[in-house]
Amino acid sequence: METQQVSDHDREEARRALLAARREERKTSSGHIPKWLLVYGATLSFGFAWTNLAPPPDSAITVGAVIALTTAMIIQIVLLVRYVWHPKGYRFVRIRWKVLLTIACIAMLLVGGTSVVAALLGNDRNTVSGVWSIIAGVLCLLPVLLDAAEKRWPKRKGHRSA
Amino acid sequence: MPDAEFNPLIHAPIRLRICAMLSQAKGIEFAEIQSRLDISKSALSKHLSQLIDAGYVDETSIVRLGRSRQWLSLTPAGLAAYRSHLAALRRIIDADD
Repeated sequence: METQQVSDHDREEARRALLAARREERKTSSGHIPKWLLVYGATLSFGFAWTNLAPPPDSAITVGAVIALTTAMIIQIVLLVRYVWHPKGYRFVRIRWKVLLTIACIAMLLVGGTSVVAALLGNDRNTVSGVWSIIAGVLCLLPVLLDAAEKRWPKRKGHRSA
Repeated sequence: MPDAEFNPLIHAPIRLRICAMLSQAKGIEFAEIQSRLDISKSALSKHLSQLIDAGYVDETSIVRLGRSRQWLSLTPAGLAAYRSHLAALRRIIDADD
């Protein structure tokens, strides 16, 4: 394919090849964290928000739910870290959402910590913890939402990037 | 922008996809590439040998739990050739008639 005299056919072929390469790069760099895990994390966070904002503080239900949710969240964080940093079949993937997911993990740890303290002490920190939980839930859902948005509104053709 | 050089070896659809995958990771297992491309082992081996012969791809075998796993990665020359090829494609797309 000469670049001096380029026909429409050459241009179309080059465009298709470039799109295929970009698609494959994107799949490699974003296809390893199962969406179910992110949705699961968001559900747990919203569960935390509910335990902090809805039922009466320091009730047996609240304490029990917080302990159960914290246990489930620790398992979720372990799985998330495993999928982010060591996806099966890949070595050191350049994952675009790594920073975002790491922030989400930190936020979730904060949620777990503040929720346990708030549930045990049963004071107005419940509200703070509830807000933290909602933020963490939204952070968990962000990669899923961004991915869906990218599929719904793909970048324009011939997008230039180094 | 990297040097733009059209590379016929990389341009073949399957090999371009292999290079694109490998450009985003330090290494990918043979079985994972095969499953992503949905082609036979022999077809994949054939494409990989061409890339290995050109010095674009490195192959290492790791024995784990009694099973040998083949890991593939792009060499620095392979990564440069791939980027240069993408730059050439962009140049073709942007070229005037």
